[in-house]
This record gives sequence, C-alpha cells and structure tokens, in this order.
Amino acid sequence: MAVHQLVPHFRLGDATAQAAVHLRALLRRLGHWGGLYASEREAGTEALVEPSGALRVAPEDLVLVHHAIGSELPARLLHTPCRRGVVFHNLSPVRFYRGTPLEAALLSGRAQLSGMAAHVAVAIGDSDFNSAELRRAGYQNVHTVPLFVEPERFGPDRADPATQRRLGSPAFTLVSVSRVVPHKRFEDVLALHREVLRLRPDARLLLVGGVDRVFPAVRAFEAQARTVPGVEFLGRVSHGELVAAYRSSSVFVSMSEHEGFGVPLLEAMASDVPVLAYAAGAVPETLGGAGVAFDEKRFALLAELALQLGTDPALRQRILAGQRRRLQALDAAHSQERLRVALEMAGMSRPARARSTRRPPRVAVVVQRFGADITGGAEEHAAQVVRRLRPHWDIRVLTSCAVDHLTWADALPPGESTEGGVQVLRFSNPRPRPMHALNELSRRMFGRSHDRVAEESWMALQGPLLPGLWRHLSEEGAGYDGVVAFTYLYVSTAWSVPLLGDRTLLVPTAQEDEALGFDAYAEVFERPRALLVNTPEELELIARRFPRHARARVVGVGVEAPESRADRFRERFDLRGPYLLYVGRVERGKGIPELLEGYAKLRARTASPPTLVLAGEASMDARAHGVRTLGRVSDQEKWDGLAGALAAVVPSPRESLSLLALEAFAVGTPVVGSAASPVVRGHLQRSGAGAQYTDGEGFVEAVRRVEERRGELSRAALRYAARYGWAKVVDAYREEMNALMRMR
Amino acid sequence: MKLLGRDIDGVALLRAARERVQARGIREDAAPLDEEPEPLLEPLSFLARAIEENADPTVGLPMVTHRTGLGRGVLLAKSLFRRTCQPFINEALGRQRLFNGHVRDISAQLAAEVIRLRARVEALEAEKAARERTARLSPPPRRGTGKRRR
Repeated sequence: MAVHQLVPHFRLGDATAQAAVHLRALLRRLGHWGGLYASEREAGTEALVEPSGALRVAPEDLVLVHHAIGSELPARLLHTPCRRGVVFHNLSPVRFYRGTPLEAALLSGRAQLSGMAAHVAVAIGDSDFNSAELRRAGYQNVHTVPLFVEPERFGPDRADPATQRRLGSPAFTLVSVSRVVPHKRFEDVLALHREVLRLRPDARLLLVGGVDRVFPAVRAFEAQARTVPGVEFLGRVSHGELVAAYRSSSVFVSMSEHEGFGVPLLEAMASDVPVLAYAAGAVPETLGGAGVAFDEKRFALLAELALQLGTDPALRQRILAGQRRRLQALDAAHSQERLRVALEMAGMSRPARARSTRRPPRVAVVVQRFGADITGGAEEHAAQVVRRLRPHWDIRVLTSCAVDHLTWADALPPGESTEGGVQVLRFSNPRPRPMHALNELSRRMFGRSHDRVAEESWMALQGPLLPGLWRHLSEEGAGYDGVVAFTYLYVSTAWSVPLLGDRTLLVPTAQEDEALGFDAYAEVFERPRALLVNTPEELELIARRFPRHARARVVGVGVEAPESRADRFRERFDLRGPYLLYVGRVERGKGIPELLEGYAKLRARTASPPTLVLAGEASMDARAHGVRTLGRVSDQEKWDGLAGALAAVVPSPRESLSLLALEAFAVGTPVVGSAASPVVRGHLQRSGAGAQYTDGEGFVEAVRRVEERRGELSRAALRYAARYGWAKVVDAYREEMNALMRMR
Repeated sequence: MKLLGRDIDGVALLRAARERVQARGIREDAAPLDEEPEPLLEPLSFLARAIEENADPTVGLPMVTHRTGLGRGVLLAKSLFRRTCQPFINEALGRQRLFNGHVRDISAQLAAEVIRLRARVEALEAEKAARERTARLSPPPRRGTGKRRR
C-alpha cells in the first residue's frame, strides 16, 4: 500500500514542492512508502522526483494529486487504477488575472477541482479554509492537514552570514515574502512603506521572491517601487538568504487578499519577527491568534502600528512569545496525527503489531551493500554482525544489487538468494549515482543551510535509491521482529528507519561529515529504538549535532585475529626491511595525499626509511618513491601483513570505528594515525599504542617514536585489543533486540 | 477597522495609533476592497465549452508580450507571419481542425449523455427513497386470526 504523490511543477523553494516533501516525511513516519512524481521538475531534483509518466500503481495504492492550478494531472488521476485523493492548496482568485495568460489555467483548475470530487477516496485541505472549499466543490471525505515549518531551520545560525552582514541595519525594516503576483497586493505593501517613510525617513522595505513581470499590474508596481526610497528587491533567494532577510527585519507584513495557508507567516514566526497581516482567506486560521491581523487597509494607522510592533520591546516580546506558542501547536506531530486519521478514513490504516514472542527472532539487516567481494568499513561491519548473530537470530539481509560503492549500479541479480548460509533479499536501484553531479551539488550545498526539499534532493542523489526496499518494509515490515540498519548517510537506511521507527536499531557509523549538518537526518537519529555506536567519540559527535537522539550505547565490534605469519606476506609481495602498512580504499577522502606528503618527508630525513605499503582498491595515482601499491589483498594476507608491519597507518580524517586500527592492535602492531580523526585520536589516547600526526613533520616524528618504542607499544596494543571481544558485542545486540521485542 | 491577536489589546493599540495619526493631521481612508466570490464551475459544461472555444487550431492565441525591445520585434514578426501565411496554416492544420471538430462533438455528446444519466439516477434514487419511506410509514400486516387448517 504505497502513497504516491503527483505534483504539477516541482521547483525548489516552491510551496507545493515543499508540501509534497513534508507530506512524504510524515507518510514515512506513519509507515507508508510512496514516490514523488511531477509533470515538470527543476534541474537538480531528478533523483528525488520522477516524471509523472513513470508512475506505476498497485490497486491498493493511494495516489494524491496536489492541486493549485489547472494541469493535466487531474485527468491522469481519474484514470489511475487505484485509490485516489486530492491535496488542495487553493487556487488564486480569477478576478486578479482576467485577460492574463493565467486566467484559463485558473478556470480549468476550478473545473478540475469539481470534476475530481466524485472520484476520490480522500480530500485533504491544508487549512480549514481550503477544506471548506473542497466541501463546497462536492468532496465527501475531507480532512485538514496543516502545512508546517521546521523551526530549527530558521534559527539565527541558519542565516547566510554574507547576506546578514549586507542587510544588517538599525533602520526600521519591513519584509514581505512571496512571489510578486497580482493577488498578493504588493502595491499595498508599498503604500504602507510610504507611510512608514513619513515617520522614519530611513526605513527599508525588503521584498523577497521572484517578480512575475508577465502581469501588467506587477510591471506597474515594480516601476513605481523602484522610485521609492528604501525599497530593495531581493528576488529568489537561497534558504540561508531567506533566513537572513527575515532576521534583518523589524516586522513581517502581508497584504495578500487570498491565502490558502500562508507558509511565510509561519516562517516569520520561526525567525522571531512580529507578523502584521491582512486577514484574508486562511490567514486568521494560520495565525491562530498569534501576531496581529487587520481587516481594513488603513495605511497611516498600519504604519503607526508597524512601528510600534517593531520598536516597543515589551509588545514585541509578548507577540514573539505568542508566535512561538502558535508554532508549537502547528508542529509536524500535529499534522502527522491529522494525516493518520485522513488515511485511516481512506482505508489506508496499518495493522497494529502485537508483542512478539518468536524464538529465534526474525530480524532484517538493512545495509547499502552486502556480499563476499564487498569491501568497505560499514559493509564489513554489517557482514561480521550478521555472521556472529546468525546462531541467535533468523536473519534476512535487505540490500542493493550494487558492488561498486561509487555508482551503486546493479551488478548482482535482484530478488531472494542464500549467500554463505545467509538469506539475502536484493533490490534494484533504478538510478545509479552520478558522482560528478553529486560532487558538484555537495560543493554548492555543504556548509550552508537549506530547506528540506534541497536536503532530500541531495540525499536522493547520494542514493542508493531502493524503492523496492521501502515498499517491502512498508508492506511486510510487520513480519520482522526488529530491524538493524547500517550507516545513517545513505537513503537505503535514512528513509527506512522512519518507516519502522522504534522497531529499529541503528548502527549509524557516523563520522565528521558535512552531510551530518543536514536537519533531514535528525529523524534517522531520533526515531530508532536505540543507536549502537562504535566509539565514545562517535556518540559525542551525534549528541552535539542531534541532542534529541535516541538512547545510545557504545557497542563497536569484536576483533579476533586469526593465526597470521608475517614471513608469508613478505615472501608473497617480495618485501624486505621494515614497512608501514595501510589497508583500505586508496582515495583522496581517506587522507592518502597527506600520507604521501608525510612519507616523502620521512624519506628525505631518514637514512633507511621503512617502505610504505598500500593495500586496497585504488581510485587515485599513489605512485611515489618507496611506496608499494598491492591492490586488493585477501583477508589472510591483510592479517599476515599487519602482523609483520612496523606500524599500521590510519590516515583517514573521517572514521567512525577505524577497524584497521583495532585489527592492527589485535596482532600487537602499533598505529600511526591522523589526529584529524577524533576516533583514531581516541583509540590512540586510550590504548597508548601508537602515535598521532597532524602534518608531514608530525608524521616523521610519529614514525620515529614508534620505531624507538616498538616493543612497549606492541604490548599496549594487545592489552587494548583484548577489550574488543565478540561475546560482549553479540550480547549487546541481543539485549537490545530483546528489549525492542518486549515493547508493544 | 479591527485588530485581531491574542497577545495584544487590539482596541487600545488601535486607539493609540489613531490618536497619533490624527495628531499628525492625517485623515485615514481605507483602500476599497475588490471582493468577489470565486465561481464554482461544473466541469462537464466548462470543459465542453472550452473545447468548443479552442477547437479551431488555425486561429492563433492572442499575441501579447510583457517584454520591450526584442520582444516587441518578435511579436511583429509573428503577426506578419500570420497575415501572410494564413492560407498555408489552414492547409497544414486542415485535418487537425476536422479531428478537433469530431472531438468537440463527441465530448458534447458524451457530456450530454452523462448529464442525462445523472439526472435519471437521481430521479430513480429519489423514487426508491420515497418507496422506502412509504413502506416504513404504512402499518405492519396484521397477524392471521383464522382457524388453522389441518
């Protein structure tokens, strides 16, 4: 039972696109999966939204069409063979658009609204105002599910610093946020600003939003506004710039004569700006008594009032406190409950799950890749957990068909199989990851604040996109007693966790990653039953970023070294003399360039330097004097190599566990590690079995220290590794799963 | 004029603002409001009419532009094209015009049929409801009092 959504035009920053993405987030929390489809998509959203022609449904699915203008989607909906629904955002009044190109689309939209009434199972208005219009148009099963904003996205830390510096001013400032179109009555905002100028000649008016010059009334307004002092058109802005505009203003003003909901009213509230709005359409309902609404446009009076709102500290504080209360009442949980009732009435309710007493428990392990030839820290971690818990749980691994960690392209057949005695269910990825596009988008997005639409677009591009997995969990998730999901970063986990919520144990494998700055990841850390983290440093990182995270427990992995022979490794790879060993992917993100720089310095300073051996798949050129690249090595070769190394090198600045360090310790080999990684730093400080480096000079010094105290460090390494036994790890997983199964 | 808000004393705020405006010697006028209820459109009739109005593809859409300069030039070129090439447009779109005419006629036919059937269904449902009401109101049949036959 999927709940798909059809949107006419999907544009970043557009209210309908935001509503659809927010609705899908709520649907996930209610256990429903569904895709987003649009007739037109803005560039950069292709991974998040599919073309409307790609929609395929099962008879029990529900398709919701977002309706705000005439489009071809209502006609498509009427002939979609499944349950149907409408999400109504209202239509702009035709009277403002007579004789313009929009008139026909608005009239068609009204006709289509009535035309769908008899053919849908559920109708959703985003305000009671819109719901009343749905009933008037003949709809029966009508529910109000209000839109919401995520207040943390409008905090002072989310304002774009450059814009805030540019706009920051002690002058009294009005701000109005919306596309400049006729019914928003920006000419009235300008009239108010003129009145304010009489009282405060230095006053400013910030206008945020694109200007639709296709309308004569808008062109006339723009020409007029450009002659008035203090008026600044900011146009379409990024999320950070929007927050900066709100937070640089004294009062938010709306003169719109028709609002189906009024998202900017909530955004202004979340940005701590007093709201002064004309009480048209759903505005009084959205304000719910907060801010100040007025019923007549008397500009001289309103100018006095606006000044008082912006400059009287006691009045301002009272209003801001009321606005915060209103925001709390209109939060996501409130909308989620309304949506749950609406879906229930449309026959989309999900059966309640009884407490399980099954032995052994049926557990799904969700991981981005799985298989014998798969390398990668988190994937190997998941494989080991599966291997160790198989005697205690009835496990089914849910994963992609990918082998390549860069593209996630399907390489293994989808469907059920048994691999090494483990039941595996693979799902196809319809859209391999375009690394160039992802890197480009990451460059533009990292370190800046965004709305949920932009963040989910990035997450979808990151992949792997596994719609089959989400449908499986939504429809058959009740058949599992619990789910263990690996790696918060990938959508295969990030969008699976909310579907099953507190029936999930998340192994986040979080590390210092720019994507961790995205608020859209909050629910991945807040909704599971428990987080099973690798190190105290990882827990500290998660707590710093998402203070409301689920209960967490440091579990890590067990490390048990097999019998190893250093001479076998030396012989196999023709190695003489001491060597430093790195095992893992040879790529820039793993700190290899910094390692090579440090090693070059070591060679320059030392008479007989150790060889640097790099073992692992290479995606960069690592050739240098004294460096041996071996390519991928077998598991036994890895252990043999570690046993004979002077030290293992861990150059990666981002680690959530650093399995390599633990494995080196397990065979009594010290570690030379990058101090840029808090996890590696933590291991080295706790164990006293190695040395850290921050730069090339530091690397030389670290290797020298290890050479001098090799025996002493080796003993410390073995002592530390003894803490990492599998028995404790297995017990921790079992305890958490049993606790999860005991809850109703 | 009224001010709405739970966290303000609307009357006092307004009175104070009014006093300040009057002290500045300003007469306040409200901007006239352009209120008009939005139409509820019956889709079948609306779409039948819309198809009828747009059935002839040889008739161009109104030519407007909000751009100046080059935009005006493009508009002039389009207008010249239409004037000089109308016979060729008619020729090229002749079959489309015919097809659209049939679509218009069949849509009108089907829409009329749907409207007729809807009315018929409504009448039958009303008739059925009336019958059920009558059945509920009429007294129940009396129990037999005659002698039992052997």
